[in-house]
Amino acid sequence: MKLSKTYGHLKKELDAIEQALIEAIQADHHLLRESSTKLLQAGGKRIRPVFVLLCGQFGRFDIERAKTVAVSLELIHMASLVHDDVIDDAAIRRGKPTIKQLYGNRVAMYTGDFILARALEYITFLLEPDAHHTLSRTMVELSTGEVEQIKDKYNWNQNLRDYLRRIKRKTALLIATSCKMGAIAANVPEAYQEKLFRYGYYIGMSYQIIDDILDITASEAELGKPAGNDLLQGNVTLPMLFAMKDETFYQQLSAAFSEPSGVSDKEWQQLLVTMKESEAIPQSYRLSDRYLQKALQELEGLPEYKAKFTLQRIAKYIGSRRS
Amino acid sequence: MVALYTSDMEIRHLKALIKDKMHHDYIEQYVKTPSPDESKLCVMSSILKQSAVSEERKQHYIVTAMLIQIALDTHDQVTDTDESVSCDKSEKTKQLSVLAGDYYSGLYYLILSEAEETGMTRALATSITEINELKMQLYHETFHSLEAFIDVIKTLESRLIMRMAEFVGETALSSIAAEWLIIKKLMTIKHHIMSSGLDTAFDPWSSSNPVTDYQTVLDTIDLVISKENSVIDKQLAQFPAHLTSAVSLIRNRLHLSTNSQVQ
Repeated sequence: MKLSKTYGHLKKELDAIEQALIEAIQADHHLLRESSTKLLQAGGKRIRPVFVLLCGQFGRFDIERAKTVAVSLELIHMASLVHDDVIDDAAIRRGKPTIKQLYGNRVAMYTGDFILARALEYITFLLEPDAHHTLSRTMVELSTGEVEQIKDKYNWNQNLRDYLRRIKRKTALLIATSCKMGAIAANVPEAYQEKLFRYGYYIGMSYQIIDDILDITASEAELGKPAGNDLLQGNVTLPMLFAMKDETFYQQLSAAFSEPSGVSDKEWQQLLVTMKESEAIPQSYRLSDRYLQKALQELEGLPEYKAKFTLQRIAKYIGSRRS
Repeated sequence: MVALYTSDMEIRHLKALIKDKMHHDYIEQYVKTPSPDESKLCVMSSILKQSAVSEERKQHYIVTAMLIQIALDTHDQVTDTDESVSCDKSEKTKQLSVLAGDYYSGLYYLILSEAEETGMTRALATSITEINELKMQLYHETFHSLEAFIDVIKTLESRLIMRMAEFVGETALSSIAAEWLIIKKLMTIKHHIMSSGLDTAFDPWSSSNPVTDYQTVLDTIDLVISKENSVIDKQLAQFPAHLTSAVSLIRNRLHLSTNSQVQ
């Protein structure tokens, strides 16, 4: 089953959001318009808009207000991706050449800045101080989280807490913020807003853990980028943290990365195979599942609306993701 | 007497405030973030003093606008050339320059959202979109002359301040802000050319128009400065009477005499 099937009934609203996204990125300069359009066309699951729409159903849902929030959050996500590709020197994302690859770093930087500013222009049409407090804090956390990620690269001595804090900032916070802002825009009662925020947070944690597992277990074709790419970039993920508990693996890994010429392809493939066959993968899935259960628990006590069941289905889909 | 000029002490205070907001240990180890531009601080502060904005709001506006300026300037340090990232340290510098700019942008939104300044958040965000449009012009358009290229820099340098002035409803000083800033900028560039060669601000120009004769560039700069001085002169003559003292202060600040020559 595809994720989009779980929220098929939102098609009309999602189409309206897609149209608004296209309008939002229309720049005057042809190259800026072209690069922004390519970024938008590269696709993506639009999962943040989906959470905004669903969480808004627990209050006085208004498509215009929801659209404002959804467009803004998706633009922030897009801007972060285009800048991330400059940071990682990435040539491919979702199987397509990145903006950095097509036009160079400078255009990628200006495209990201342009889109981020558009997101802020958009969100200021929502006159809800709480929404702005939440989003602005999240944006600062997102960038400090990425700074931490760079600081922690190739640091094989980090612990589980470091990893969890990093993925919270990298992924979970923006999803949690999408849920909360969707709720704020619809004047959902505050207690529900907090539950939805925590639901988004747990879902985001689970989602990122599975992404980190798939970085090792999935094929290049499935990932749209080389397998093991995150690890090769020095990002210590959960499966690696678990695998490093094995002293032999830890020694092999440290030795491979200490070579001045860098880790050889043969060594790297061997390390990936060892990780794939180790207990690290099922252990990682178990932690991901614990977050999913927490997400589902947060939904308890919410009104029995269709949106609640969709949020449950999304959680279950994420938990079952294997490619 | 119009409270036009910001004293040196006030500028130092504002700079310290901005640096304090931006401070991040790890980023600073790798990224040389640009200093707050004193000319822009001075122009901004002067414009806000002409408006009915409270002292607290004035400070918020200046700090956030300068955070944006520094964010954009930091992102300008991320170039297309890969030679600069040949070692681990320069790779980290590139990566952290991207993130530093994003971090300062986040701080601008955070400060204004805490002050519940939605209108100013939007005004400044609009200026960022326009600045990025102008940067694309700088790097991806062909200019028929150096003057035409400088004209885009002039718009680019003042856009943030113009949007801020528009938001607070100030019209007098902002009518000469673009000329004021480009004169200051060109004077710095001129000094740079005379001491150590072409300034990086002219990189987009020189990449498609290799500069072999610095004197021609200097002559063009002098010509533009002279033209901008004339524009300011004409504008100052039309300033309302209550700004008389401001007019003489601006002349002093820009080293302008009545015949529009830069000293």
